[in-house]
Amino acid sequence: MITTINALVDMGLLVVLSVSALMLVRCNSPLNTIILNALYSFTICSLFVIMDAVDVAFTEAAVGAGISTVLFLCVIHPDDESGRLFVWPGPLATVVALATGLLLVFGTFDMPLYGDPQVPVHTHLVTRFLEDSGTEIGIPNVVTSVLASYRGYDTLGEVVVVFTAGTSVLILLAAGHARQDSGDGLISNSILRVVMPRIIPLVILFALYVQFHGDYGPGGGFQAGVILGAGLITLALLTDSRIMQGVISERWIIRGMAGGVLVYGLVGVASMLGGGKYLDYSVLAQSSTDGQHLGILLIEIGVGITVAFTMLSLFVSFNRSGQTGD
Amino acid sequence: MISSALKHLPVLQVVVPLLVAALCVLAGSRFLARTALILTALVMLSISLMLAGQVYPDGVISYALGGWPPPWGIEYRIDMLTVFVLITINLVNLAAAVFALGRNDDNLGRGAHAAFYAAWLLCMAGLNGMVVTNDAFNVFVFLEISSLATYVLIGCGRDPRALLASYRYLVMGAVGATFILLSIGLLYMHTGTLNLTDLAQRIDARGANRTVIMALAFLIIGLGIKCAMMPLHDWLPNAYSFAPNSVTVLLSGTATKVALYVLLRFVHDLFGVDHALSVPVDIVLVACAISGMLVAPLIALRESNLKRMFAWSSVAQISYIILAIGLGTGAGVAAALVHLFNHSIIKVAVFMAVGILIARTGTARIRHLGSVAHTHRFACYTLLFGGLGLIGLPGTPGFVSKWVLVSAVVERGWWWLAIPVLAGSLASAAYVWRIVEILWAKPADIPLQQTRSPLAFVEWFPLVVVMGLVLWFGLHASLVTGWAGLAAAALTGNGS
Amino acid sequence: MTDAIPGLFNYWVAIGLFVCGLVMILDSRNMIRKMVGLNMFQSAVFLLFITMGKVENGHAPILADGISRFSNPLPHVLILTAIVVGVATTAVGLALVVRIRRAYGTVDEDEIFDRPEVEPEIVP
Repeated sequence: MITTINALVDMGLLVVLSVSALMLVRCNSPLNTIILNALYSFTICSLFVIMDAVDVAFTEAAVGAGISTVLFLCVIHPDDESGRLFVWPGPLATVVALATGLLLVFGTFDMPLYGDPQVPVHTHLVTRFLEDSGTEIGIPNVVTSVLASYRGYDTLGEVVVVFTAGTSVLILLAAGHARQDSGDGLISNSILRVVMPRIIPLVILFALYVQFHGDYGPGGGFQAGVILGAGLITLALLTDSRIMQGVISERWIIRGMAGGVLVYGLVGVASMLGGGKYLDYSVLAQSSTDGQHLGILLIEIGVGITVAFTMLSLFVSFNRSGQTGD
Repeated sequence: MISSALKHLPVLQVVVPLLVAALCVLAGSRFLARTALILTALVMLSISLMLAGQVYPDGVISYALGGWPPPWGIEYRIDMLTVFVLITINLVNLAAAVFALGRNDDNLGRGAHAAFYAAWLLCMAGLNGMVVTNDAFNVFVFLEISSLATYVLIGCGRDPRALLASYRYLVMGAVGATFILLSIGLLYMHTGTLNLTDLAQRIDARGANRTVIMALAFLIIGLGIKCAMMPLHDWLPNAYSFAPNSVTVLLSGTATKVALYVLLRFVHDLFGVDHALSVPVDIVLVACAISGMLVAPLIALRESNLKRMFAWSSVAQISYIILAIGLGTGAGVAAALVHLFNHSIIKVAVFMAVGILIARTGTARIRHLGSVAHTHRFACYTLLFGGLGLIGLPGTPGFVSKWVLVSAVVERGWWWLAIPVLAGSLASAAYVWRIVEILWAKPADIPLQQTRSPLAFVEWFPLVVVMGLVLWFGLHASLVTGWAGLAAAALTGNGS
Repeated sequence: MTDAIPGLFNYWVAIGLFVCGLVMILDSRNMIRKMVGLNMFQSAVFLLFITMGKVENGHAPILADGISRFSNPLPHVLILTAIVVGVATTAVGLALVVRIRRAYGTVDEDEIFDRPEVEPEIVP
C-alpha cells in the first residue's frame, strides 16, 4: 500500500478525471464536448506523470490533447449545436456496458495492488531492460531503449500506422472530392501577426531539442514530429494556405510521409546487409553500442519525419474539406 | 547473397509490401503503383511458398527481430500452420490484385489512385504480420495497420453508403481492437511477458486466475468482432456489399480468415480448450457457431441485394470454421483449416463473378437480374458452381470441408452437432436455388441497360485460375486435408 | 482487505471510464460524439496499463546515478504505441465523418437511417 503524497495526488486526480468523464457524457454541445475532451486528456496526462510514465504523458499531451482536439475542431459544424447530444442510454447499451464493467471489477480482485513491486510484471522481462540496457544499448532513457531497439519492430509498425492513417485521410479527402476554398488565414488578427512569427522559430527549436534529447530525457521522434508539425501548421494558419503551398507543395508533404517510413525500413535493410537480423543496429558500426546509437538516431529521425509530415497532411486535407469555413 | 536473403524470408514477407507501399506513395503514379501491386503480390506468394519449403523439412523457424532473443525482443515464428494461412491469404491477394486492375467501381478522387494501391499493400502487410508474429502486442500493432487500411478500402465504394458501412466497421473494429489490447494487458499483468510461447508456458506454470479468464473473455469478444462471429457480425454484410468489388474479393478471402487464425492460435496455444480454466470456451464458441449457421442463411434467403446475400453466406460459412475451432481437438483444428482454405477460394470466385455481373448489368438487385444467365454465361455458371460449393455438394471443395467437419464432430462425441451443420447446408441450398431460378428462369422485371463489353483479361483470367483451383481441390482433397493435418499437429503438439 | 481500496482504486476508475466510453459509443447518435467516446474508452485501457507499470517509490525509467528503483518501462512503450494508434483511428474516423456529412448533410446516424432507402443507379 502506498501511503505517500504520491498516492493522495493520484487519487485526487482520479476523482477529477471521473468528474470530467461524467461531464463529458452529459455534455450537450459538440464544441463543449471537444473542450472537455481536451481537459480530460490533460488530466490523464498528469496521472501518467504521477505514475512515472513521463514519455507517455508527453505523447498524450501532444497527441491526445493536441492533435485530436485540432482534428475534432476541424469537423464540427455550427449546425450541430442545435441538437441535443445527450440521451439516456437505452436498455441494451446499459446492460452491455454494465455487464462488461462488472466482469472487469470481478477480475480486479486477482490483480496486483497499485505499486506492488513483487509481481510478474516487474520481475520477468523488465529486469533485463532495466539492468542491462545501460551496457547493451548505452542510453539512459530505458523507454527509448525498449521502444527503439528491443521492441523497435513494434515502433516500425507504429510509424506505419501513422503513415496508413495519413494515406487513408488522403484517399478519403482527396483533391477530387474537395470544395476548393481558401480563406485569408489569421493574418488579419494583429496580435497573432505580431506574436506568432516570434514563437514559431522557438517551437521548431523545441522540436529539434525533443528529437535529439530523447535518448537522455523524455521525448523522441513522435513527440518531436507532433511539435514540428504543430509549428508548421501554425505557420500555415497564420499566413494563408496558398502561401503555405508556396513553401512546401502538397506533393512533397505526401512524399515526406512516405520518406520517414522508408528511412526506418531501410535502416532494417541495412542491418540485414550488415549480416544481422532485421533492425539489429549492432552491426551498423564498429562497436555494438555505437551501432545501437546510430540506429536509434536514424530511426528516430524517420519517425519524426513521418509524424511531422503526416500532421501537415492531415491538416491540409481537413482544412481543404472546408468544414468550418462554409 | 541469395542464401543470406533466404534466412530473412519471415521478415521479408511483411517488410516487402510495407516498403513498396511507401514507395507507391512516394512515386505517386497510378501506373507504377498498379505494376508494383501485382509484382509485390507475386513476390509475397513466392515468399510464402519458399517458407513452406523451408518449414516442411526443418520444422519451426524462429526469427528474432532486432537480434534480441525472445522473449525480450519480438519473435517471428513460422510453422506448418503459419505457412498454410500465409499461402491461402497471399494466393487470394494475388487473384484479387489482378482483378483490381479491371474496371473498378470505386469512387477515388483525383490523385488518390496510387494511395489506394498503397492502402491495399498496407492491408496485406498488416495481415501477413499478424500471421507470422509470435508476440501478443505485435499482433495488435499489425491488426491496426490492416484495419485502418481496410476501413479506407471499404470507404472507396461508389455508393455513399460505403462511407457509412466503413464508419460503422471502424467503430466496431476499434472497440474490438481495444478489447484485444485490454486482453493483452491482462495477460501481461498475470505473466509479465508478451511472447506467445513464453506466455503459454507461464500460464501453465502459474495456473489461471480471474485475470486470465477475463483476458480470454475479452480476447474472444475482440477477435469475434474482427472475424464476424454471429452476434458480433453486424459490420460485415454492409461492408462487403458497398466496398468496391475487388476489395470485397480481397476481404472475403483474407481479413476474416486471419482473425480466425489468430483466434485459433490464442485459444489453443495459450489456453488450451481442455477445461483447464474451468471456463466453457468450447460451449460459447459452438453456441455462437450454431446460431450463425442457422440464422445467417435465412437472412441471406430474404436478401434483395446479390452481393449482400453472399456476404450473409460468408457469416454462415465463418460459423462452420468457428464450430471446428470450438471442438478443441486436433481433428477440429484440421477441419477449421480445410474450410478456411476452401471457403476462401470459393468465395473469391463467387465475389469475382458477382463483380463481373454487377459491372455488366449495372445493378446488384436480385430481382432486376432475371434471365441474365443467357447473356452472361461465364459469370453465371461460375456463380452456380461456387454456390454448389457453398452448399457442399460432392465433387466440390465444400463437400470435403463438410465431410472433415462432420467426422471431427463425431470424433469429439458431439454427433448431434451434425444436425445443425446439415440444416445449414439445406438453408444454403435454398438461397442458391433462389438465385439459380432467377438468373436462369425468371424474366427481368425491368429492362436492364446491359453493356455487352467483352470480358477483359484481368477479369476472366484470375477467375478462371481460381475456378480451376476450386475444381481441382474438389476432386483432389488430400493435399489440403493432409497439410491441414500437419498444421493441426504443429498447433496441438501431437500427431492428432 | 484494507489495502484493496487504495490498491485497486486506479483499476476501478479505469473501469468506470471504460463503461462511460462504451455507453457513449453504443448509444450516441452523433458520430463525432461517438469518436469522443471511443477516445475515452481507449484511454481507460491506457490507464490500466500505466497503473500496472507503477512501482512503489519508483522513479521514471531514466537511468541516473543514485537511483535504483524504477517504474516499469515496458507498459509505457506499449501505451505510447497505443496512443498513436488511437489518434490514427480517430483521424480516419473523422475523415469518414467529413465525407458522410458531405454526402448526407448530417452526422446524425438515426437521421440517416430513418431515410427511405433508395437504390442509386450504378452506371457501369
